[in-house]
Amino acid sequence: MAGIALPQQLEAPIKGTSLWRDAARRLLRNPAAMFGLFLVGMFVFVAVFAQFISPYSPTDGSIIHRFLPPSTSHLLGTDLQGRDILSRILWGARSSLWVSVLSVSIGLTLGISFGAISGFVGGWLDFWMMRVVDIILSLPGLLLTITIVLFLGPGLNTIALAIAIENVPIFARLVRAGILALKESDFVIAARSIGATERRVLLQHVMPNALTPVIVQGTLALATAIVDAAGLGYLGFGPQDPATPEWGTMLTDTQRYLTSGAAYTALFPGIAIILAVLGFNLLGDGLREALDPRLKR
Amino acid sequence: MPPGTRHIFTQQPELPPSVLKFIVRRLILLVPILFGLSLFMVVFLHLLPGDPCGAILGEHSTAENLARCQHGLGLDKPLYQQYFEYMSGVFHGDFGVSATNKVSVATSFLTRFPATIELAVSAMIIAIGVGIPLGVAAAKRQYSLFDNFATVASLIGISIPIFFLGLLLQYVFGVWLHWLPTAGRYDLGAYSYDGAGTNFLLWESLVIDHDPAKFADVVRHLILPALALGTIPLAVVARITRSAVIEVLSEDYVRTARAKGLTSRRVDSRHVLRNAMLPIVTVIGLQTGLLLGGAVLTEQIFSWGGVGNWLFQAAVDKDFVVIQSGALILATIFVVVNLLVDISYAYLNPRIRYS
Repeated sequence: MAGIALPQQLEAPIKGTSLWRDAARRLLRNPAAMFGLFLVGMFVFVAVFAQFISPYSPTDGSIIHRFLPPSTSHLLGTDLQGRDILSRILWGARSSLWVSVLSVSIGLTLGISFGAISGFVGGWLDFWMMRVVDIILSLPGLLLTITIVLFLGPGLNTIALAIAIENVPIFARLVRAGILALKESDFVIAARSIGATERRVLLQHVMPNALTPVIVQGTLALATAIVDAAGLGYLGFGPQDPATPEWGTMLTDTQRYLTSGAAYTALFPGIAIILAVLGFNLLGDGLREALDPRLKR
Repeated sequence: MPPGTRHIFTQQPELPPSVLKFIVRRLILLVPILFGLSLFMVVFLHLLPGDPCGAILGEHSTAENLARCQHGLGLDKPLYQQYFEYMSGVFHGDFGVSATNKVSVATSFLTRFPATIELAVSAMIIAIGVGIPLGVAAAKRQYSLFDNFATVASLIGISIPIFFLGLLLQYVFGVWLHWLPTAGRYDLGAYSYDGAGTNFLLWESLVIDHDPAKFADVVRHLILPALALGTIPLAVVARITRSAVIEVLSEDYVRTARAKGLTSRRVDSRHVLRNAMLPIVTVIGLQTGLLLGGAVLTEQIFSWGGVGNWLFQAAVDKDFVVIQSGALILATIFVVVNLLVDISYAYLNPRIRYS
């Protein structure tokens, strides 16, 4: 066997940057992702500080002031009950943020546990757990959500739970696939072979790589949750409490007045949904590019 | 030739035995999934509070009436017995009877599914017809103004809620411009469909009635809902096409094909698109499966009368049998469509081994 040619002089060790620092650097350089982050920031800010920045009460209005067109006193006009649309949109952000964060948190917790157990344990348990995932994924998603909300009764928490159940199988599959791939991957074997401890292998090599797709999917799931919640609201399953403005419900309320020249009342909640969803989608795309070193430009 | 080097633009292979084995295995795997699915639906609906009798009789029904109604629907039997009776019906093609209108689920489904198929297929034609050329064009001018525009447009397409898009389309083309109808599948005042009863109105109006005006009426009703439903698949297809084509464009064999002096058109059609097709077909299959599952929102906005409207109403009525049978049928269709997509891989990429 021919001897292995050793380099005469080993190069100086390259100073590595950590995965996260590297990803953050790439994310900051991506203008689309930064715009997404800006939209998300606006959305969260509005949701948290709704009571301080909204010019009017979101729930009080008088019939005399109904369907006022946009003006300096009512920037986005008023709806059929004379309520200020801008204030209702600002407060509506709170409902959307709550539903999206709660549903993704529940979905992540259940999904990661489910996927991790399935991936680590393997065998017949893995087989049957994945069939359960197949079953939930094959069901028409919105129908499942509607059924859960209908039976459990309306309300933001019910909506979040219903949306979360749709997310669980998606997260579970991602985590399981990541674990299965990483168990056998060259760099995990390499890390072990140079004497890394199990703990180090798990924390430094397996987890960051198994969780990156979950982080991306989680961000995108926040966007989907906002759309789904608004869709439920549009279909009439939003929070029934009039003190909780919700973007989808606002659209339904005004749909009947499309022909009456008050179409703008439906326009603004729609734009609010698009901006919030676009923000999370842009950020999710940016994260995907930033966290996947293979996509480096 | 060693395995794995055979290329896609060599002659299409016949289905190798491994693929047949794969199909059979997948079909066998369908059985536990469908059993699990039916069990899941029955238990799930049972666990949720409320039942169809409460919805039919209203809040002020007497306990006696409620019990009689539950007895009539068999809801007072033990759960395993309900499941057993339901499943033995399913095996005989009997998917149960709606608790609210006493119509058999199979009949309702068959009359409504054609409406959903027409809508879903039209939406996918728009998505594929626009999405693939858009994605290819964007990929070939990567980072150009056009590419950036297409990227932003498809991101907005993915972010726009379908019901808001539907409302916008209704407002602009229906209320404002008066160009297109905004609800229903045909002009109820001008036409009637009672001849063939297939409920495929495009087919009936053109092939059975030979009436171009009637056909045009159906098409006009189809445009807005198909646009609304097709937007998200369009954006998804365009994005996948773009990234798949960009990846293939950097392959050695594309450079080789160019170096051989092939026209750019020939390189695109025979080398680039064929090899980029795999992820695109996956997405198309997945999206078609999703659309056939009933576009609840689109059908509600445009009063379409398809599977989506029907199941939505069933959910509102807490009509157990309709929900569980409808979900079972749609999930089966979804799984079968996915299986077809997987099988199509064999034709598109002979390198994939089915094991």
